[in-house]
Amino acid sequence: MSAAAVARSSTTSPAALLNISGLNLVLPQIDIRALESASDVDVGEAEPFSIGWIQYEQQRWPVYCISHELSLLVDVPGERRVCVLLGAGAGYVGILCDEVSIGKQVVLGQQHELPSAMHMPNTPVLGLTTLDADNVACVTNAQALVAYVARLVQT
Amino acid sequence: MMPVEKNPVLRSNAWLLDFSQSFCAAVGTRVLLQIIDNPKLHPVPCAPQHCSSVFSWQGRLLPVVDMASILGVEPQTPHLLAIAGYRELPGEPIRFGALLLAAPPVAIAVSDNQSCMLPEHSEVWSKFAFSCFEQQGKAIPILHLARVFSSLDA
Repeated sequence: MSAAAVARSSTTSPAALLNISGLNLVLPQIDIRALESASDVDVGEAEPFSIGWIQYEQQRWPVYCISHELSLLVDVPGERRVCVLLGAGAGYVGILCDEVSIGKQVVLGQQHELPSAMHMPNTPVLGLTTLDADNVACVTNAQALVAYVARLVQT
Repeated sequence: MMPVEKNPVLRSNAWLLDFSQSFCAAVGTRVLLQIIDNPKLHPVPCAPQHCSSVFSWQGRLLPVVDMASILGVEPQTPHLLAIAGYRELPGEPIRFGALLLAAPPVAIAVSDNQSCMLPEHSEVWSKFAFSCFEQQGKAIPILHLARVFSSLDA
């Protein structure tokens, strides 16, 4: 399936909009398994590059903090108030966000392919979409984002 | 009656683009469509440094290329943007992209007898230039926009 097709399928279902220090990330709402307060993250015994754990379905799952450039942060900015729990294969991964919008709050405009000059190997950005006259969002999905974070952790 | 000799007046047929720190290149006059002052760019993460934002233009999201970054000089602050139209191949639909500029473009007249070798950074220019001409003692590459807006590996 092409990146464009993935991007289209990512946003034909209801979408969720994550705001991370001004970066808008759109992904299928179904990819979000839970929304938790960032204050519920257990910061004890965090795995390398994660900032702690979140409890879900009687297990704990690693939580990561990423920047607007999608690099891993170990110091959590104060504006990260929400933890989205993304389905990742057989498990889950938490990502801290400033804000999360779901349902009818998320109105997407036209979908665009990622320009070929912007393609990088392993990018989780599958496409672009306009939100309104002034804002653009990057389209991703849980699979791409979690795989990207896993690669960052490994390297 | 003496025949009147017309002065051969060269009409401008190219735009000279300044990418900062005296790095210049040229494109044909029909290529440049619009100059945008103080554009609002939308950063895209995990993209190459030379093309890390898009510009919303007429319902499209155009890749914004910073040639200064490709040439290894300090990346530009988004001050001026040139909207360009180009074709990947003759007969194909027009595609659009945007180039960061350090100064407004200058209209120039270029003729075939000005052709010359590529300037410094010829390993870069050989990827992104069709050819080159001499203008006031300086070698000016002619941009191959399809390559500029495809990828560094093109």
